[in-house]
Amino acid sequence: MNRLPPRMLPGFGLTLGFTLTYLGLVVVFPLGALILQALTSSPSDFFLSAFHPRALSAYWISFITAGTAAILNTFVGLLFAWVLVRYTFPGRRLMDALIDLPFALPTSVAGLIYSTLYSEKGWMGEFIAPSGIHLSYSWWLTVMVLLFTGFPFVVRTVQPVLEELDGDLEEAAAILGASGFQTFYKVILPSILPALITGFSLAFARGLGEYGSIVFVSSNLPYQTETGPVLIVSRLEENAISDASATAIMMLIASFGMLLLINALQKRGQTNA
Amino acid sequence: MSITVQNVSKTFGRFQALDHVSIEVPTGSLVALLGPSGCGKTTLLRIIAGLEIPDSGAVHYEQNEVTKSRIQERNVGFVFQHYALFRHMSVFENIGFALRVRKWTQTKVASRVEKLLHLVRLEGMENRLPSQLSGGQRQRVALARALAAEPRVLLLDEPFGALDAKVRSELRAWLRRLHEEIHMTSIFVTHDQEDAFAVADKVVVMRNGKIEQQGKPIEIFEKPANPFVMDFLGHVNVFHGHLEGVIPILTGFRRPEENDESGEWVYVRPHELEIHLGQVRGSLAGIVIQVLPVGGITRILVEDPQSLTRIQVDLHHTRAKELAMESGKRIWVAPRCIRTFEPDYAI
Repeated sequence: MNRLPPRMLPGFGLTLGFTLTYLGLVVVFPLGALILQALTSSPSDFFLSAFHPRALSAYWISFITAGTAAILNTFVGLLFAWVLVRYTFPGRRLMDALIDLPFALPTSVAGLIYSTLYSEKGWMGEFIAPSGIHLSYSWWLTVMVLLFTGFPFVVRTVQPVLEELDGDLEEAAAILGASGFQTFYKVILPSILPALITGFSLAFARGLGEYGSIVFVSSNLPYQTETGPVLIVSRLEENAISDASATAIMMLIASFGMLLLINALQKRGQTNA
Repeated sequence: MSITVQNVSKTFGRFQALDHVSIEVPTGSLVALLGPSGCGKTTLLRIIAGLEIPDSGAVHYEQNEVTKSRIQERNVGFVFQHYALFRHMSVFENIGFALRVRKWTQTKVASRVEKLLHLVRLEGMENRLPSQLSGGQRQRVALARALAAEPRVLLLDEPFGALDAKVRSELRAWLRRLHEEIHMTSIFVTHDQEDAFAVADKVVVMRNGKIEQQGKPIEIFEKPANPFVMDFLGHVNVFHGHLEGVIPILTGFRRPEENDESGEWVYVRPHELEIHLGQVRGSLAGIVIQVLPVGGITRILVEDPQSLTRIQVDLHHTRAKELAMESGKRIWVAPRCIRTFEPDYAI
C-alpha cells in the first residue's frame, strides 16, 4: 500500500473503505449466508441434493439455453451495432431506443407476451402447433425469451467501440489490397473482440439467472424444460430449503467459474492484441 | 509510373474542396502538395489514391484511366497522417499485411519484411506492438507497410505532421535519401513550406481548392506567382514603392487600415532589406523595437513611429553587431530588391 505514489485527489481511504464495505454488505454477506445455510446440512445430504439427477438436468438446460441465446445474441447484436453505427436511415434513433426496451421491461412481462403469442392457442402458436412442434414443451421457447432479455447487451457493449474505430484503419486495409471480408476479420473483428466477449458474457450471465420470463413460457417439467432458477424456486415451495441452497451454490460456482474463464480469455485476447 | 490529374473537381456538401485542378507527376519524381489547411491538398491526394471519387475530371496512371477503378487494384502505397497502424498486430504483421492478403508464403513474407525492416532501420523490432514504438518509429513502420507490396506510387499525407522538430528534420533527410535509392514516384501533402522545400523535386502550392503555382522549389521561392505564394513561403513585408530605373524606392509603410486593393504594393523579404544609420535614397525611417538572435541571423523588428506599422528585417549576425542594433535606435531601412504583382492577384 505504501508503495503507491501520492495521489492528486484526496479521499482514497474514504472511497476505498466505502466501496469495500458496500461490496461486503451487498454481495459478500448474502453469498456467505447462502454458503452457511448449505453448511447446516451434512456433506452427504449436500452432495445428494447438489448432484441430484433433476438438478444436473436443470443446470444443463440452463447452460444450454443461456449459451445458445447468448451466442445468437452475439451475432445479431454485432449486426445491430454495425447497422446503427455505420448507416444513417430514417428511424435510426427509434431503433436505437427500442434496443433498450428489454432492459426496461420487467422480464415477467416479456414472459407473458411470449407465452401469449406462442402457446398452443396463441397468435403464433396456433400456426406452429399443427406442425407437431410444441414450443412450450421444448427448450426453444426458453431460448427465444432469453434472446429477448439478453438482446441489448452485445449491442450496447460493441456500439461505442465500433464508433471509436478509426475509419483510417479500413482505408489502410483496402489500400493494402484487403477485400471487404478480409478487412472485417483481420482488422475490425480483432478490435471489437473484447467488447464482443464482454457482451456475450453479460448476456450469458443474464440468461443463467433468468427466472421471471422462463417460468411463464416454459412447461417447467423436471428433466425436460426445468432450468436451475426454476428448480430452486420449486424446491423452496416444497420447503426443502437446504436442497434449494445446494442447487443455488452449484449455480453460483458454475456461473462464477464461467465468468472468470471468459475474463481470462478476454485478458489473453487483449495482450495478444 | 507517371500520374496525370486532369480538371478534377470535388465538393463536400456545399464546400468546394477542389476546383478544376490539373497536375502532372513525372515518373520517379517526388512532389509536394503545399498549402494551408482546407486548401484541398489532402482531398487531391485521396483522389489520386482512390479513397475519394472526383465529381468530375480524370486521374491517369501512365496511360490508364483509374478515376473509378477499385482501390485494391490500384496498388498504391499510402501513409496516413496518423499512421493507421493495426494496433493488435506486431510490427512484422503490420508490414506483412499486404503480403498476407495476397497469400504469399510464410518464408517469402518473412524475407520481404526483413528487407523492409532493414530499409526503415527497425531491425529487431518486428515483435513490438505499435503502442511500444515512438512516433518516428511508427511513421517508419507505416512507410514500410506501404512499400511492402512494391506499389507503383507512394502517397504520404502530412508525413511529418505529428513529429517533433528534431525527428522531423531527420526523417525528412531520410525520406529524401530513400527516394534517391528507390526512385518511386511519390507525392506528399504538407502545410509546412520547409518540408516541401527540403524534400520535393517539385512543389504544388494550393489555396481554396485551386493551384496557385507549381514548379521547382527554387523557381517558386525566387519567382512566386502572386502575393499569396510569396506570403505562404515565408514572412514578407509590404510597402508603397516602385522602381526608378533599376533602383528600388520605398515611399511608405502599408498602414494597418490599408487593404490590398488600395494601392500598388511592393513585397520585400526580411533578408532583402538593409539597415542604414543615416538616410539613403528610397529608404524609410523607423525605430528598432526588438532585436532577436535567431540561429545565424539577427531578426530586427522596426516600427514606423507614425502608423505604428511593424516590419521585420533579417540581418547577418556580424552586420547587426557592426550597426550596434538595440531597441529604441532610430534607423533607415532600404530594400536591395523589390517584387510587384498584378493587382488582381493581391492577398
